[in-house]
Amino acid sequence: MPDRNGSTRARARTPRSRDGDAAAIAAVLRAHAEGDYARRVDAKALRDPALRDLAREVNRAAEKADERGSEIAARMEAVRVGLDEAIDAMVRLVVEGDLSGTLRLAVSDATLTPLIAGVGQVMETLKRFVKEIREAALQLSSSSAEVLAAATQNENSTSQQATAVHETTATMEELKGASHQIAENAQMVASIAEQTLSATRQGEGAIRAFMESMEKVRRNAVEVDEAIVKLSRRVERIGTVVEVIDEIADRSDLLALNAALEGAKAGEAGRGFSIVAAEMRRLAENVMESTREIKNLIGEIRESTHAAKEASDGNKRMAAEGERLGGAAMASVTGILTGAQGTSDAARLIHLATQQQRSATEQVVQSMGEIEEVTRQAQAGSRQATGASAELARLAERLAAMVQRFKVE
Amino acid sequence: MSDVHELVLFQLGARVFAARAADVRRIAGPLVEHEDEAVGETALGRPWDPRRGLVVKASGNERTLLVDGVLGLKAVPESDFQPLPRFVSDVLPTGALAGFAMLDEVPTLVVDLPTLVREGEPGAAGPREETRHA
Amino acid sequence: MREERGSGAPDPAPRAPAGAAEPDAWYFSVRIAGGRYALPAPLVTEVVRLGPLTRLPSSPSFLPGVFTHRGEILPVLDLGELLLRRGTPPRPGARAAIVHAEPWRVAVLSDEIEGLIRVPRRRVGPPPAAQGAAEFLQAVVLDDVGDIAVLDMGRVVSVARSRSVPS
Repeated sequence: MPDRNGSTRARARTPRSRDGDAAAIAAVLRAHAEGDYARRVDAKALRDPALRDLAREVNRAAEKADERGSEIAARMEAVRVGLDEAIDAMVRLVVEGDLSGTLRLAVSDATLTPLIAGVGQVMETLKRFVKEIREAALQLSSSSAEVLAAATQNENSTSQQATAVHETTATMEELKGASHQIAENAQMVASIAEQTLSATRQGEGAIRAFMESMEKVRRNAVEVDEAIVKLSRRVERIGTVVEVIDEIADRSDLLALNAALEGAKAGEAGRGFSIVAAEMRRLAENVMESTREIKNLIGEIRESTHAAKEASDGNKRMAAEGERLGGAAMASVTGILTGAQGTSDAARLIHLATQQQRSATEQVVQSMGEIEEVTRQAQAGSRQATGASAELARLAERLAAMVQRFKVE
Repeated sequence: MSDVHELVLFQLGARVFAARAADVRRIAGPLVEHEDEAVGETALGRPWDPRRGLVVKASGNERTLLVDGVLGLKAVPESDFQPLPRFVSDVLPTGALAGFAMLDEVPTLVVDLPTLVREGEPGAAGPREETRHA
Repeated sequence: MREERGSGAPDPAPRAPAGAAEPDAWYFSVRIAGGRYALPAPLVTEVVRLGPLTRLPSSPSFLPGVFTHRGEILPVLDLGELLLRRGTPPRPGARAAIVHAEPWRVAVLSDEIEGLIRVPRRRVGPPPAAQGAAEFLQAVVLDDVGDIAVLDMGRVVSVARSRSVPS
C-alpha cells in the first residue's frame, strides 16, 4: 500500500492479480479523488493489458490533472497576487479615499479580467455611490438646514403661539378670575342690594310707623285744639259772667263812693250815711276782690290754654313737619327701594351675565387650554423636530465631511 | 276849721294823690274819657287807664279829672297836714299842689282840683299865683 | 327851728369895731364835680342821710323829690344837676346838708361834704362877672386848699325857677 508520506511514484512490483491491479488503480484514483494527483499507477507492473491501458490513461489523466492543477495553481497564484493587489488598491481607496484613478493591475491574466472588471465596476459603483451620497449629503445638509430653519421657525412660531396661547390662556384665566370676581362682586352687590332692600323695607316700615305716629300726633293736636276751643269758649263765658259781676260790683263801688262823698260833705249829718256807704264799699270791694281772683284765674287759664294751643300748634307744626319729612323719607325710601330693586335686578343681571360670561369664559379657557395643549404638543413636536433636524443636520454635515474626503474627479 | 279834713284819695299814674272832698262834686266812671269835659293831662301827669273821674266845678263849669282809680275817702286831722315847702312851690310850675297830708307817715300830695283843671285850660292864668295850705 | 331872714342873702357877721381883728368867716363846703362850693355856715343846720324820697309830678331834674326829716317835709336839691347839669342820682342813704336859707329849706346833695371852713375875712372876695356858674355866687373865698365858690341861695332859687319852665 502506498503511504502517505511516501513517494509519489509507488509501483506495484509484484505481479498481481487483476484484483491487485484494480486495487492499485483504485488506490491511485482514490488518491486523485483526494486531491493527490501526483500518484501514478505503475502500469508496467500491471499484468492486465487492459488495466495497463487503464493505468496509463489514469496516469495520463493524472498527468493532465496534475498539469491542470499546476496551471490552476499558477493561475490561482496569479489571481491571488492580483487579488492582493486589488485588495491593496481597495484599501488604498478606502484609506486614502482616492477614487479618481482606475484600477490598474499588473496582472494581465485574462482569467482575472472579469475580476478586474468587476473590481473596476465596484469602484465605479463606489464612486457613483459616493457621488450620490455626497450630493445627497449636501442636499440633506441644506434640506436639514432648511428643515432646521423651518423647525426653528416652527418652534419659534409654536413657541410664540404657545406664548400667545399661554398669554391668552392667562388672560382668559384672569378674565375668568375677574369675571369670577365680578360675579362674586355682583353676588355681593346683589346681596347688598338684597340687604338694602330688606333694610329699606324695614326702614319703610319704620317710616310708615313714624308717619302714623305723626298722624296720631296731628289727630291728637286737632283733638287738643278742639278741647282748647271748648275750654276757651267756656272760659270766655265765665269771663263774660265775671265781667258782668265786675260791672255790677264796680257800679256798686261807685255808688258807695259817691254816697261816702256826700256823707263826708254833709259832715256830721251824713255820718250814718257814710257808715252805710263804707259798708257797701266793703261789700263791693269783696265782690271785686273775688272777681279779681276769678279774673286772675281766667287769666291763668287763658295763659295755659294759650300755651296748650301753642304747644298743640307746635305739635301740629311738628306733626306736619314730621309728615313732610316722613313723606320725603318715604320718597327717598321708595327711591332707594326702586334703586335697590333696580340694583338688585341689575346685580342679578350682572350676576347672570357674569355667570354666562363665566361659563363662556370657562369654555374659552377650556378651548384655550386645549389649544395650549396642542400648541405645547406642537411645540414639543417642533422641538423634537428641531432637535431631530439638528441631529439630522449634524449627521448630514458629518456625512458630507466624510464624503468630502473621497476624490471623485 | 274843723280838726278833720275829708280827703278823696285817688290814683293817677304811678302816684296816689289826695283832694278835698268838698272840691269833688261826684265820682264818675267808667267810660269817663268819652265825656267832653274830661281832663286827661294835667300837672299830675296822665292816668294809665282812667276808669274813674273826679267831677270838679271850676270856672262855673263841671270838669272831670280822669284818674286811674278812687281809693276812698279819708278823714285826716289838721295836724297831719303840712304846707308845701317854699322851695317846691317856687320851683314847680304848677300852683295846684296844696301841700302834703301825712297818711301813715307817707307824705301824700294834696291837690287843689279846681286849680289843677283850670291850669289845663287854654289861656289859663299863670301858675304860682297863690300858694295855699290845705 | 326857723330863722327869719331877709329875702335870701345871708347877713354877714356883725363887724367888730375898727382896730379889732375882724372875726373869721365860716363856711360849709362841699365838693361837686371836683369844684368846691360853700354856703355860709350858719345856714347849714345839719348833715343827714336821705330817707325814702317822694317824687313830685312835673318835677325838674334837680328836684328829685321830698323826704321827711323829723316830721318835716324837705325838698332835695341836687346841686350838681342844677349848677352843672350833671346829675348825681340820689343814692338811698346819701348824705345831704340841710340848709335853712329862709324862706327856703332844702336838703342839698353833693358829691362830697367837706364840712366847716374858716377863712379870714380878707380872703373873701367878690364873685367873678356873672357867667356860667357865677350867676349863683355871692362870693369867692380862698383858703389854704384853694378857691371856694360861695352860693347865693336867692340866685340859686331864681335860676332853679327859670329852669323848670314846663315843656
